[in-house]
Amino acid sequence: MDSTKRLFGVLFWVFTAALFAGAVVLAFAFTPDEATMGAVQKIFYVHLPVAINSFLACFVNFVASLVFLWQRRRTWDDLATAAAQVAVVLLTIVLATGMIWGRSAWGHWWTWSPRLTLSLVLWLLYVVYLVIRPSIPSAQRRAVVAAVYGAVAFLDVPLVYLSTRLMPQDVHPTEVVLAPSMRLTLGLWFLPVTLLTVGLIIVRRRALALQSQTRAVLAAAENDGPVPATIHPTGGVL
Amino acid sequence: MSAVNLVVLASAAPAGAAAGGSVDTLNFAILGYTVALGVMWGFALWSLWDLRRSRQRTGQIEEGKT
Repeated sequence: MDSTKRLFGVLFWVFTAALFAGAVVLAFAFTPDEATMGAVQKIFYVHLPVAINSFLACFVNFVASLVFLWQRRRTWDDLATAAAQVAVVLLTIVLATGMIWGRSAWGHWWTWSPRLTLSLVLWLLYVVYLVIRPSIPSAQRRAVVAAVYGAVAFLDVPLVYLSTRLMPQDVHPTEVVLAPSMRLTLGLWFLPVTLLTVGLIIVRRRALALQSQTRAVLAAAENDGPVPATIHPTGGVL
Repeated sequence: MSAVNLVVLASAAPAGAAAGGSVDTLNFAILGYTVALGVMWGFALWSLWDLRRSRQRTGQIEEGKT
Protein backbone atom coordinates (compact mmCIF):
# COMPACT_ATOMS: atom_id res chain seq x y z
CA MET A 1 0.00 0.00 0.00
CA ASP A 2 2.82 2.37 0.95
CA SER A 3 4.75 1.65 -2.26
CA THR A 4 1.55 2.17 -4.29
CA LYS A 5 1.13 5.57 -2.64
CA ARG A 6 4.74 6.46 -3.39
CA LEU A 7 4.34 5.39 -7.02
CA PHE A 8 1.17 7.47 -7.32
CA GLY A 9 3.06 10.43 -5.86
CA VAL A 10 5.93 10.10 -8.33
CA LEU A 11 3.52 9.73 -11.25
CA PHE A 12 1.56 12.78 -10.07
CA TRP A 13 4.66 15.01 -10.04
CA VAL A 14 5.99 13.68 -13.36
CA PHE A 15 2.57 14.20 -14.96
CA THR A 16 2.31 17.74 -13.57
CA ALA A 17 5.83 18.61 -14.77
CA ALA A 18 5.01 17.24 -18.24
CA LEU A 19 1.83 19.35 -18.33
CA PHE A 20 3.86 22.45 -17.43
CA ALA A 21 6.34 21.71 -20.21
CA GLY A 22 3.49 21.26 -22.68
CA ALA A 23 1.81 24.47 -21.48
CA VAL A 24 5.01 26.50 -21.97
CA VAL A 25 5.45 25.12 -25.49
CA LEU A 26 1.79 25.89 -26.21
CA ALA A 27 2.14 29.48 -24.98
CA PHE A 28 5.35 30.28 -26.87
CA ALA A 29 5.18 28.15 -30.01
CA PHE A 30 1.50 27.84 -30.85
CA THR A 31 -0.20 30.94 -29.42
CA PRO A 32 0.16 34.18 -31.41
CA ASP A 33 1.60 37.36 -29.92
CA GLU A 34 -0.93 39.96 -28.81
CA ALA A 35 -1.35 42.78 -31.35
CA THR A 36 -0.56 45.72 -29.03
CA MET A 37 1.63 44.39 -26.21
CA GLY A 38 3.52 41.75 -28.15
CA ALA A 39 5.05 38.64 -26.57
CA VAL A 40 4.97 39.99 -23.00
CA GLN A 41 1.20 39.40 -22.95
CA LYS A 42 2.06 35.66 -22.73
CA ILE A 43 2.80 36.27 -19.04
CA PHE A 44 -0.99 36.48 -18.67
CA TYR A 45 -1.30 32.69 -19.21
CA VAL A 46 0.70 31.98 -16.06
CA HIS A 47 -0.21 35.16 -14.12
CA LEU A 48 -3.99 34.66 -14.03
CA PRO A 49 -4.08 30.91 -13.14
CA VAL A 50 -1.51 31.48 -10.39
CA ALA A 51 -3.56 34.43 -9.06
CA ILE A 52 -6.78 32.37 -9.00
CA ASN A 53 -4.97 29.46 -7.33
CA SER A 54 -3.48 31.79 -4.72
CA PHE A 55 -7.07 32.75 -3.85
CA LEU A 56 -7.86 29.01 -3.67
CA ALA A 57 -4.99 28.50 -1.21
CA CYS A 58 -6.23 31.46 0.88
CA PHE A 59 -9.72 29.92 0.85
CA VAL A 60 -8.36 26.56 2.04
CA ASN A 61 -6.58 28.41 4.86
CA PHE A 62 -9.83 30.21 5.71
CA VAL A 63 -11.96 27.04 5.79
CA ALA A 64 -9.31 25.04 7.70
CA SER A 65 -9.00 27.88 10.24
CA LEU A 66 -12.75 27.95 10.85
CA VAL A 67 -12.98 24.16 11.14
CA PHE A 68 -10.02 24.19 13.55
CA LEU A 69 -11.77 26.75 15.76
CA TRP A 70 -14.81 24.46 15.77
CA GLN A 71 -13.13 21.05 16.22
CA ARG A 72 -9.71 21.97 17.73
CA ARG A 73 -7.98 19.15 15.85
CA ARG A 74 -4.33 19.60 14.89
CA THR A 75 -4.82 18.30 11.37
CA TRP A 76 -6.83 21.43 10.48
CA ASP A 77 -4.10 23.68 11.86
CA ASP A 78 -1.54 21.80 9.74
CA LEU A 79 -3.75 22.18 6.66
CA ALA A 80 -4.24 25.92 7.30
CA THR A 81 -0.47 26.43 7.68
CA ALA A 82 0.27 24.43 4.52
CA ALA A 83 -2.27 26.47 2.56
CA ALA A 84 -0.80 29.74 3.89
CA GLN A 85 2.71 28.68 2.81
CA VAL A 86 1.47 27.84 -0.68
CA ALA A 87 -0.52 31.09 -0.81
CA VAL A 88 2.60 33.15 -0.03
CA VAL A 89 4.59 31.39 -2.77
CA LEU A 90 1.81 31.87 -5.35
CA LEU A 91 1.18 35.50 -4.36
CA THR A 92 4.92 36.17 -4.69
CA ILE A 93 4.74 34.84 -8.25
CA VAL A 94 1.63 36.92 -8.98
CA LEU A 95 3.35 40.11 -7.79
CA ALA A 96 6.63 39.32 -9.57
CA THR A 97 5.06 38.40 -12.93
CA GLY A 98 2.73 41.40 -12.69
CA MET A 99 5.69 43.72 -12.12
CA ILE A 100 7.61 42.26 -15.07
CA TRP A 101 4.55 42.58 -17.29
CA GLY A 102 3.90 46.13 -16.04
CA ARG A 103 7.49 47.21 -16.72
CA SER A 104 7.13 46.16 -20.35
CA ALA A 105 3.51 47.19 -20.96
CA TRP A 106 3.19 50.36 -18.82
CA GLY A 107 6.86 51.35 -18.56
CA HIS A 108 7.09 51.05 -14.77
CA TRP A 109 7.48 48.18 -12.31
CA TRP A 110 4.85 49.27 -9.81
CA THR A 111 1.92 51.61 -9.43
CA TRP A 112 -0.17 52.14 -6.31
CA SER A 113 -3.42 51.18 -7.98
CA PRO A 114 -6.13 49.62 -5.77
CA ARG A 115 -5.66 46.05 -7.02
CA LEU A 116 -1.86 46.11 -6.80
CA THR A 117 -1.96 47.67 -3.33
CA LEU A 118 -4.56 45.19 -2.05
CA SER A 119 -2.57 42.31 -3.59
CA LEU A 120 0.55 43.49 -1.77
CA VAL A 121 -1.48 43.74 1.46
CA LEU A 122 -2.75 40.18 0.90
CA TRP A 123 0.82 38.92 0.44
CA LEU A 124 1.92 40.75 3.61
CA LEU A 125 -1.04 39.34 5.59
CA TYR A 126 -0.02 35.76 4.85
CA VAL A 127 3.70 36.45 5.32
CA VAL A 128 2.84 37.81 8.78
CA TYR A 129 0.69 34.70 9.39
CA LEU A 130 3.76 32.53 8.83
CA VAL A 131 6.11 34.84 10.74
CA ILE A 132 4.01 35.10 13.92
CA ARG A 133 3.43 31.33 14.26
CA PRO A 134 6.92 30.40 15.50
CA SER A 135 6.88 33.33 17.95
CA ILE A 136 4.11 31.69 20.02
CA PRO A 137 5.59 28.86 22.12
CA SER A 138 2.38 27.07 23.12
CA ALA A 139 1.10 24.83 20.30
CA GLN A 140 -2.52 25.29 21.38
CA ARG A 141 -2.29 29.06 21.66
CA ARG A 142 -0.37 29.28 18.37
CA ALA A 143 -3.03 27.30 16.53
CA VAL A 144 -5.90 29.37 17.96
CA VAL A 145 -4.24 32.73 17.25
CA ALA A 146 -3.31 31.60 13.71
CA ALA A 147 -6.84 30.34 13.04
CA VAL A 148 -8.47 33.63 14.10
CA TYR A 149 -5.87 35.59 12.12
CA GLY A 150 -6.35 33.35 9.04
CA ALA A 151 -10.11 33.75 9.13
CA VAL A 152 -9.78 37.55 9.25
CA ALA A 153 -6.96 37.75 6.67
CA PHE A 154 -9.15 36.06 4.06
CA LEU A 155 -11.41 39.14 4.00
CA ASP A 156 -8.83 40.80 1.74
CA VAL A 157 -9.34 38.20 -1.02
CA PRO A 158 -12.81 39.42 -2.15
CA LEU A 159 -11.49 42.99 -1.94
CA VAL A 160 -8.64 42.11 -4.35
CA TYR A 161 -11.03 40.31 -6.67
CA LEU A 162 -13.66 43.06 -6.69
CA SER A 163 -11.24 46.01 -6.60
CA THR A 164 -11.42 46.68 -10.35
CA ARG A 165 -15.22 46.80 -10.20
CA LEU A 166 -15.45 48.79 -6.97
CA MET A 167 -12.67 51.17 -8.02
CA PRO A 168 -12.81 51.43 -11.85
CA GLN A 169 -9.87 53.85 -12.00
CA ASP A 170 -7.64 50.79 -11.50
CA VAL A 171 -5.11 49.99 -14.23
CA HIS A 172 -6.49 46.44 -14.40
CA PRO A 173 -9.48 45.84 -16.69
CA THR A 174 -12.72 44.40 -15.29
CA GLU A 175 -12.93 42.02 -18.20
CA VAL A 176 -10.51 40.63 -20.74
CA VAL A 177 -11.76 39.46 -24.12
CA LEU A 178 -9.28 37.04 -25.69
CA ALA A 179 -8.90 35.68 -29.20
CA PRO A 180 -10.04 32.00 -29.34
CA SER A 181 -6.50 30.53 -29.49
CA MET A 182 -5.45 32.67 -26.52
CA ARG A 183 -8.54 31.60 -24.58
CA LEU A 184 -7.66 27.94 -25.19
CA THR A 185 -4.08 28.44 -23.98
CA LEU A 186 -5.27 30.27 -20.87
CA GLY A 187 -7.80 27.52 -20.10
CA LEU A 188 -5.19 24.78 -20.48
CA TRP A 189 -2.76 26.64 -18.18
CA PHE A 190 -5.24 26.30 -15.31
CA LEU A 191 -4.79 22.51 -15.25
CA PRO A 192 -1.06 22.23 -14.35
CA VAL A 193 -1.16 25.24 -12.02
CA THR A 194 -4.18 23.86 -10.12
CA LEU A 195 -2.61 20.38 -9.92
CA LEU A 196 0.60 21.90 -8.57
CA THR A 197 -1.30 23.98 -6.00
CA VAL A 198 -3.27 20.99 -4.72
CA GLY A 199 -0.15 18.78 -4.72
CA LEU A 200 1.85 21.39 -2.80
CA ILE A 201 -0.84 21.82 -0.15
CA ILE A 202 -1.04 18.03 0.36
CA VAL A 203 2.75 17.61 0.56
CA ARG A 204 3.21 20.55 2.94
CA ARG A 205 0.35 19.33 5.18
CA ARG A 206 1.88 15.85 5.41
CA ALA A 207 5.32 17.26 6.25
CA LEU A 208 3.90 19.66 8.87
CA ALA A 209 1.82 16.88 10.43
CA LEU A 210 4.87 14.62 10.74
CA GLN A 211 6.97 17.46 12.17
CA SER A 212 4.41 18.56 14.77
CA GLN A 213 3.82 14.96 15.84
CA THR A 214 7.57 14.37 16.11
CA ARG A 215 7.93 17.50 18.24
CA ALA A 216 5.10 16.29 20.51
CA VAL A 217 6.78 12.89 20.99
CA LEU A 218 10.17 14.46 21.74
CA ALA A 219 8.61 16.96 24.18
CA ALA A 220 6.74 14.14 25.95
CA ALA A 221 9.94 12.09 26.17
CA GLU A 222 11.86 15.06 27.63
CA ASN A 223 9.21 15.64 30.28
CA ASP A 224 8.85 11.91 31.07
CA GLY A 225 5.22 12.24 30.09
CA PRO A 226 3.09 9.73 28.21
CA VAL A 227 4.53 9.15 24.75
CA PRO A 228 1.94 8.72 21.99
CA ALA A 229 1.71 5.13 20.77
CA THR A 230 2.42 6.15 17.20
CA ILE A 231 3.96 9.22 15.67
CA HIS A 232 2.06 9.00 12.45
CA PRO A 233 -0.16 12.05 11.94
CA THR A 234 -3.52 11.21 13.41
CA GLY A 235 -4.91 14.70 13.73
CA GLY A 236 -4.77 14.69 17.52
CA VAL A 237 -6.89 17.07 19.56
CA LEU A 238 -5.04 20.15 20.76
CA MET B 1 -16.39 55.76 -17.44
CA SER B 2 -17.71 53.92 -20.42
CA ALA B 3 -17.87 50.15 -20.53
CA VAL B 4 -15.36 50.10 -23.38
CA ASN B 5 -12.64 51.40 -21.07
CA LEU B 6 -13.23 48.54 -18.66
CA VAL B 7 -12.60 45.81 -21.19
CA VAL B 8 -9.28 44.84 -22.71
CA LEU B 9 -9.44 43.32 -26.15
CA ALA B 10 -6.52 40.98 -26.63
CA SER B 11 -6.27 40.14 -30.28
CA ALA B 12 -3.66 38.15 -32.12
CA ALA B 13 -1.08 40.03 -34.17
CA PRO B 14 -0.81 39.09 -37.85
CA ALA B 15 1.76 36.39 -38.51
CA GLY B 16 5.24 37.86 -38.82
CA ALA B 17 4.22 41.25 -37.42
CA ALA B 18 6.67 42.90 -35.00
CA ALA B 19 4.17 43.89 -32.31
CA GLY B 20 5.20 46.15 -29.46
CA GLY B 21 8.99 45.88 -29.95
CA SER B 22 9.06 42.10 -30.29
CA VAL B 23 12.55 41.22 -29.00
CA ASP B 24 12.19 43.37 -25.89
CA THR B 25 8.71 42.09 -25.03
CA LEU B 26 9.84 38.50 -25.65
CA ASN B 27 12.70 38.97 -23.19
CA PHE B 28 10.24 40.22 -20.56
CA ALA B 29 7.95 37.24 -21.27
CA ILE B 30 10.86 34.80 -20.87
CA LEU B 31 11.88 36.56 -17.64
CA GLY B 32 8.32 36.28 -16.31
CA TYR B 33 8.06 32.56 -17.07
CA THR B 34 11.53 31.90 -15.64
CA VAL B 35 10.62 33.61 -12.36
CA ALA B 36 7.18 31.93 -12.15
CA LEU B 37 8.32 28.40 -12.99
CA GLY B 38 11.53 28.75 -10.99
CA VAL B 39 9.74 29.82 -7.80
CA MET B 40 6.91 27.26 -8.23
CA TRP B 41 9.13 24.27 -8.94
CA GLY B 42 11.84 25.39 -6.53
CA PHE B 43 9.25 25.38 -3.76
CA ALA B 44 7.86 22.03 -4.99
CA LEU B 45 11.29 20.37 -4.89
CA TRP B 46 12.03 21.84 -1.46
CA SER B 47 8.62 20.61 -0.22
CA LEU B 48 9.27 17.07 -1.48
CA TRP B 49 12.74 17.09 0.10
CA ASP B 50 11.27 18.37 3.39
CA LEU B 51 8.61 15.62 3.36
CA ARG B 52 11.26 12.97 2.75
CA ARG B 53 13.39 14.35 5.58
CA SER B 54 10.36 14.42 7.93
CA ARG B 55 9.54 10.79 7.06
CA GLN B 56 13.12 9.74 7.77
CA ARG B 57 13.06 11.56 11.11
CA THR B 58 9.77 9.90 11.98
CA GLY B 59 11.21 6.50 11.09
CA GLN B 60 14.27 7.10 13.26
CA ILE B 61 12.14 8.06 16.28
CA GLU B 62 9.87 5.06 15.80
CA GLU B 63 12.93 2.83 15.85
CA GLY B 64 14.14 4.53 19.05
CA LYS B 65 17.25 6.05 17.45
CA THR B 66 16.75 9.48 19.00
